[in-house]
Amino acid sequence: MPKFDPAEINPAGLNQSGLSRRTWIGLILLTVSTVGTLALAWVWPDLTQVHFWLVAQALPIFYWLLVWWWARQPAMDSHEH
Amino acid sequence: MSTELSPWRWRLVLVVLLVLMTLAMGMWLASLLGISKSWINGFFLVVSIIGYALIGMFCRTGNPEEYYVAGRRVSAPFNGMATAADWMSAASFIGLTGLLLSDGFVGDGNHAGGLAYVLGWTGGFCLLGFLFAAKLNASSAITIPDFLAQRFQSATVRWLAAWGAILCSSIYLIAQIYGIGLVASMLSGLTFELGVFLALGGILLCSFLGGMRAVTWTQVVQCVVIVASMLALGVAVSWKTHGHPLLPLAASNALQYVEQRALEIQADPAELQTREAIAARIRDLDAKLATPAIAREIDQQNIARQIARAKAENSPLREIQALEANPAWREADLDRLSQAWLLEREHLAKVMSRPIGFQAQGLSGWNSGWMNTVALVFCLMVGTAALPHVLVRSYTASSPAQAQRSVVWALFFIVIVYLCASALAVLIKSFVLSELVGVHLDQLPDWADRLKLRKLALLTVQDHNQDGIVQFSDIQLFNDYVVLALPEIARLSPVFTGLIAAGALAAALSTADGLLLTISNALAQDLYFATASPQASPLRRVMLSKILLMVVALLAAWVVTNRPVNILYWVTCAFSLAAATFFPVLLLGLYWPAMNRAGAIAAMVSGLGISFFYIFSNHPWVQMRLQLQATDTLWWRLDPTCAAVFGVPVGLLMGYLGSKVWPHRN
Repeated sequence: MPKFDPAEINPAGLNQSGLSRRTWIGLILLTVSTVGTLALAWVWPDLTQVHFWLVAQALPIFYWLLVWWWARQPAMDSHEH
Repeated sequence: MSTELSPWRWRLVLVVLLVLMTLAMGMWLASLLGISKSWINGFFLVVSIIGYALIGMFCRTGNPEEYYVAGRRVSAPFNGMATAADWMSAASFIGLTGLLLSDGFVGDGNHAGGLAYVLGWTGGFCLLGFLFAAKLNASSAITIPDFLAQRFQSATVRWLAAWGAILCSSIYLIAQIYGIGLVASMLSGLTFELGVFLALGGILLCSFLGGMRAVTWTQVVQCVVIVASMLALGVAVSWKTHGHPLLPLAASNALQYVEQRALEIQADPAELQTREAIAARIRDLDAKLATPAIAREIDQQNIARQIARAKAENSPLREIQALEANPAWREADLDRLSQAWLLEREHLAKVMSRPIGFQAQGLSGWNSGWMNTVALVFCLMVGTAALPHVLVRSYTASSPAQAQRSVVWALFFIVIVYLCASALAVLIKSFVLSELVGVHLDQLPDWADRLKLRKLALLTVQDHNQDGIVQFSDIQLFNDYVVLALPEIARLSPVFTGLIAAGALAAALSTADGLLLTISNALAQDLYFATASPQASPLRRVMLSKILLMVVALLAAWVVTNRPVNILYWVTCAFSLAAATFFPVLLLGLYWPAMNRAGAIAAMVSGLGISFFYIFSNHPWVQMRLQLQATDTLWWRLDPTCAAVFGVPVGLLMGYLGSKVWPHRN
């Protein structure tokens, strides 16, 4: 396998570090909460009040809280203009 | 570069809110004085378009940095507001309520319901923030193809990405301009075609003169209008129906009534009789479609006899005209007649599968509806994070940190609108079930008569079992735009109709502005200057972008005035195409140092190719031409709008394999 020099192959000037721990947690929470609440709606299809409160109202708010929590980590300060 | 929030900009937001409130109050007084609704609606339309155009003129620029990326100095809250307005299209602002109303929360057991859209469209912003916003901002590119060309040092990658962006954005743009035409004609009373061109003038004045700088500030104002109009309508309806301003609580109470009423209607013999009449008509249409030539002959003989009898009995002219309007009598072309029957069959099948409440009858177990829901949520989330006109907003923020925070602000405004949209869907359903179902055809409420008689009918009632009573299955609402009728249904002041329509217009205009800029910049910056004329002066670049913007806008308007568009279908397809084209290449390009030019080309071509093929091969027109059945072309019974489910994994795999097989192609 050839070796790659990120500075050489990355003329866009990006820091190509992998996903941060917080990002991984965010992605997992996003997936689990989405599939979990949808599965709940499928297991109990007649509970429309639960669908309304949990999926239509609470989950979008949870997404917002998730992205707010994630954005509290320091951004790529070295790249600030 | 300063990242502080300039006080004058916050004052601008406050001024917009105050102006909106003053206008609404003024129009409310005018309505009390007897000014007609059409004048009030027209006033909101004209003031909106003039206001946006003035901002466009005030922010006009010929500086390329300002024209393409608004000078890269927009702070997080304003960039978030602009992103929210850019993203909230006519389909999501007003279409979501109608979608929840028609398809229910979790669909009919075969297709996804409205909740998939709520989750996909909001969760996508988490992906955008987590994966792309800050990193794209750090690249200092101008467009997404520009970034990919820099990252992979390849003109081919730029060319492919530019065409990918043009394809996705054009499909999206056509749906938006169709929406603008409907709202503008509804507000003004003009024809649909004139409505399209009137609103197009507003779009062009914003984006043509000032590019991204003008569009950013217009979108900030449009975001205020969108959120304020939705909140105002929600609070007013909640107050009117439940005596308090807490919309979700009002909706929850209404939902209890809806569930109880739905059970009653399901067991009602008249409803069952109506459904049986519809099922019989579907069987009749199936038989006609099997032998269309013979069926047309029989139908024509029957209609000729009925017309002769009606004339002999001196029946009213309207009755004779209704007989003559039958497609079997009117259509000379057999193909077109078959198409008309097919459309009627599809419409009736949809009426049969539509849930009475928010839940289809007898739905249980893990069926294809579950698969379609999960697939659609995936496509919408990934598509949101990969739409070129949304991604380009990362470049207008003043720093990676501001780009990151602007996603939080954007989602904040989007969530407000979606929480209201789902609650309003419940309230509209409760009005329909309580005030329409079970009522005699001659005693419909005033609002129903008005909605039926509009040039663009938002309601039709067809008495299938001929008993003179409206059953649930007799009612057909024009779901895409029914939320615009809510003020009338809830007997609110006409000011709210003008206000919500101004919000809808702002949503459609803001998205169309962003899409037009993306398309024209891809054509001018990425396809022409970067390849054919790299030494062109900045002024020439901006001028060509402006000219192309106008050409694209006029072309899109011409397309929508020539054929009807299913807004939600095409918008969802655009999400899938964007997801398959850009998500794999951006993800691997940003996070995998070994990703190279060969991998990027393989990822984009395979992702877009497979998604495009799936959508194309499952389009009804293609299926009819090639004599195909949906069962032959659907994979795992997934809807064509979920094409990215195949395109994204294939793109990721091909990006990885391409980089591994040709490791030196960079």
